Amino acid sequence: MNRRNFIKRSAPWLSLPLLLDAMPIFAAKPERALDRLNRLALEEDKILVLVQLNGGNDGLNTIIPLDQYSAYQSARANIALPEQSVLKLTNQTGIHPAMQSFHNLYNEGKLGILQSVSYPNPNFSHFRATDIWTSGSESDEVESSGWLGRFLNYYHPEFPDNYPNEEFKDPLALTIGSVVSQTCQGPVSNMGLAVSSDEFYFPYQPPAEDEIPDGHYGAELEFMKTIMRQTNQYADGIQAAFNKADTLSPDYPQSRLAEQLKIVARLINGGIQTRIFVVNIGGFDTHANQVVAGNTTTGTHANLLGDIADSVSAFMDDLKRMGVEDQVLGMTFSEFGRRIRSNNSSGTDHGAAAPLFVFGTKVNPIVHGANPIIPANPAQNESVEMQYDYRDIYATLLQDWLGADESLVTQIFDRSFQHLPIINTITNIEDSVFANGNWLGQNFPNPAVRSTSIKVFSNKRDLAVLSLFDNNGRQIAVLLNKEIEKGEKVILVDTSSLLPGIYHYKLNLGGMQLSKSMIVKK
Amino acid sequence: MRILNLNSTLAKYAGTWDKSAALHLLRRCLFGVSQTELAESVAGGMDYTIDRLFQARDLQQLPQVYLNNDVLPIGSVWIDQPYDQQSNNGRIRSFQSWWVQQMLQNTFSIHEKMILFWHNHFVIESAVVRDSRALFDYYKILNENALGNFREFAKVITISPAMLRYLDGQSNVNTSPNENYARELFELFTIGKGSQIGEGNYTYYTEQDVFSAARVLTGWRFNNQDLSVSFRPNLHDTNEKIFSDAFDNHVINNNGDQEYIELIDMIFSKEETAKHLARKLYRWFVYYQIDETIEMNIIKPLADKIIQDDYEIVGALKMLLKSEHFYEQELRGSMVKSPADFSNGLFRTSMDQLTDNLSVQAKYAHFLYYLNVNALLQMEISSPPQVAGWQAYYQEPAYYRNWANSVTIPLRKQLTDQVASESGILRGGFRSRLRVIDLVENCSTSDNVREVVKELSILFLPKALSQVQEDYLVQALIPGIPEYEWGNQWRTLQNDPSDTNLRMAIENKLYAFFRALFSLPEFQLG
Repeated sequence: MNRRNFIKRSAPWLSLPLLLDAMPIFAAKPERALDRLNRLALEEDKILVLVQLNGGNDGLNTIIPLDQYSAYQSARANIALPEQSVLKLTNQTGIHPAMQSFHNLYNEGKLGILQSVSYPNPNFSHFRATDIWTSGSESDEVESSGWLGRFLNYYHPEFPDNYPNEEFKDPLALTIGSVVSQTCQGPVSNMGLAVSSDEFYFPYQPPAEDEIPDGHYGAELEFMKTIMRQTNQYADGIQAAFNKADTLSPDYPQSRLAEQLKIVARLINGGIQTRIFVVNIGGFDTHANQVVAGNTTTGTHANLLGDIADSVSAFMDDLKRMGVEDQVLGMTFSEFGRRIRSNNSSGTDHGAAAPLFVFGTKVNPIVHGANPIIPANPAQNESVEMQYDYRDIYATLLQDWLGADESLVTQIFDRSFQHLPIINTITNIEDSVFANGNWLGQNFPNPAVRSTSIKVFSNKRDLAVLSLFDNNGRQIAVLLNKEIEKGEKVILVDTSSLLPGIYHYKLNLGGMQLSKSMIVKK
Repeated sequence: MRILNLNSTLAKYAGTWDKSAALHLLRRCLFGVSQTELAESVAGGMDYTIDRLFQARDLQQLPQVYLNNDVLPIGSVWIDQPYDQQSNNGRIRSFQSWWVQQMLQNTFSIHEKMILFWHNHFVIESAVVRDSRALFDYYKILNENALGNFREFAKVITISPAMLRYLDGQSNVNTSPNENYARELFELFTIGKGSQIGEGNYTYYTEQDVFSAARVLTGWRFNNQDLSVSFRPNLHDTNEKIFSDAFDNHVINNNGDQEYIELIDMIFSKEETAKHLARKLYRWFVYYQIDETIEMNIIKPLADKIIQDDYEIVGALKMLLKSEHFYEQELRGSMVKSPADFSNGLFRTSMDQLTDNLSVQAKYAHFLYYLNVNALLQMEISSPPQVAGWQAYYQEPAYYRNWANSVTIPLRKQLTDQVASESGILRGGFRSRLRVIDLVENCSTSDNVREVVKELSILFLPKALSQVQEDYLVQALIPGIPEYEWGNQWRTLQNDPSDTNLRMAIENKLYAFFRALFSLPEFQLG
């Protein structure tokens, strides 16, 4: 069943905006489904975790264009990472060696990378650029609400009046820290709350006093009353969720980011209804000394990247141990990338496009897009050109993950958008074919344009052969022909040279043949 | 609810000068308001009070060593001592604590509030500057220029050690200009950013201007040993620097260490620079919303005054604080208190003060406590979150509301619950509590429970109590007790101050009253 059709038919869904996909994701694993039923609040909800990198992350030292190594090296000789140190993601593209645990996540099929994300006419001011990224606006447009704030506001136009209520007992969004996220700023009030630690202290029984005077003073007083009321009303639920669960992963590093993610994991596992979480890590404004001279794989930037990779990986491990891994999808973002050329202080100045990471078991675990082009002799102020508009990524997440329909997404960004294959939406096991405990999944995206991925599951270590046929039955390619480990494997298929039409792929595994069809479009 | 449209102007306020008007002025210019300051202001009138606020003041005391891991003995003034690696971190904490002391023990002067304003304007972060001497030097610059000339202030700060380090001026050299400072100079410190009207064009300046300004500023260095600032001709870009048509295509020719002066004079020749300051002052002292009416009635004339005074700011500032607009009823209490107003103000006006005979460690333990409280409430002095300063003063649409959320409001409540209790704040062997008996003694009618409740509420809340609130607070003070009993008990204590049991009983009642008073949403507004 097409999920969007399903949504359209079920009108009451509008009042249950974040209880999205009613189809059983885990039909193949009944024991897990039962466990999950016991955690009432969780059900089939999808959770989005945003990791904000404040200061503008240096994308070229995060994801390294190995196919242009010499141009990269000469543009930023004082901070370039040695070629051998870079961890390979593909033959052309590598990742900073401090991000070993992200390299592992990538190999496990839980990390996707989008190259060169930005927007037309980029802004180089921290504040303006942050406003753009949090609001989802055009470069020359001032929008004071946040993209997730508008999304939430659509379903909860009355918020904060009459919230929390029976249906929505918990905050709609939570920032971990002491400042609410601008991303969740609605047209009128912020749609989210902040929580900082395990101490949720609560306090107020002010006398009933409904008269609010007109004017600015009245507006501020009303705001203050709302904050106090919300804090009181939400506190017990947040505390209860937090106390119900404990951190299960031993892998968290000692860092502020790790502490924030620990709280998110505990709240999720404790059954909180909240679907949107925002965490932060600062320090990316590396104008000077971002590496240790002569040992460029170490220093400020390496520490920051290592912190992100280790904290997020531990978070994923924690979620896995809690049995909620499949519900969570995360994304990093930063207000801009940095210049192609480094400066003389072993640092980098404000630039434009940069890569971002998406993580979770449901991401399409590939490097999206080509490496940025590094000119032979870039100008001092030259930045990486944009390949992906950041709003297309937001739009895709809203549509494929949080279940917003196309018209709403278009309304939120006031523009049409290009859907991107970031998330593997084939969560319904019924779309796969089974035999003897092995299965073959529907390719994603389907129809395919430039590339697509196919999931194969083997119940033991075994020889697997996957072949591609055209509609006339002619074999076109062998996509896989080797022994694979027990478990899920993702095969990436380059479809850019195929003519449009219908194709079939067949899997020989465990003495059985499984086959499915796919469409290729231009 | 209706948002009123304010049409008032900078014309001099001619309305009633009463406690409400005086409190509004004092709350915006001081950290908290004491009963004596209020009485003096009400009696003296508006002009008197404003003159009083603008009187010159001297710096009291200087930052001292308070830890024993310093190479100097505890109590030493370290500001002119050589840099010492081992002692530096402790001295940075000493500096921050001392700055908090300036607010906690603020005199009847607007000076310290303006220093905080400028700190939020010409931002530095101590974790980046990392040198206690450079930080103190920065405070000194703010102190000397707080009520001075904005343009000359910009010149001094541009080549100050703290700023050279904070925004990488130290690595801004001819062979590789570092534009970090140049960008913020335009965007935040002077003319401000307009809307982006073309690639790299922010209306009032362009990317080209940022780059040219960075080149103008190449070659300025400070010496890590003695903090002296010098200009190094060999590191300076001697080519001509061409600016965009936003600056009439002005060209700065090679002129060595004089070029930065020409650069700043060029930026200040534009009216927008005065407007940018006028808006920031408005948001600091009045309210965050600036619509077309405010822009026309307040910002423009304020900027005109600043330009007419050749960027001396006192005239414009006094004009604003004496204006009919400033005293609009709906602007009184329209500001969510900043952490500095909230906690430092609470201490300054209503708690046991630190006596002179206390040890340096005991005093610093208290200053440090407020430093840490403010940090928890998201306002650590000398450590704003970023170069734009604190969100409350620039982040649309919430502005001051950024101070208040489900984390910080409960923390504020924890603080007020603690100060209004027997335990108070115990640090370094000294216990500081709310001076509840003093506060009542200073009331005009101390033995009438309703008068006490009303008078103390006026001191701490922006508006007079409603009947419901008044009844609630009377019940918080003397729950279930006939109201005349308060007068009896109070007079008994007056007659026999040595009756400690009665004193404690009354104190406990008053603590409960203040905890309730401080729990009102209105208390968070100022």
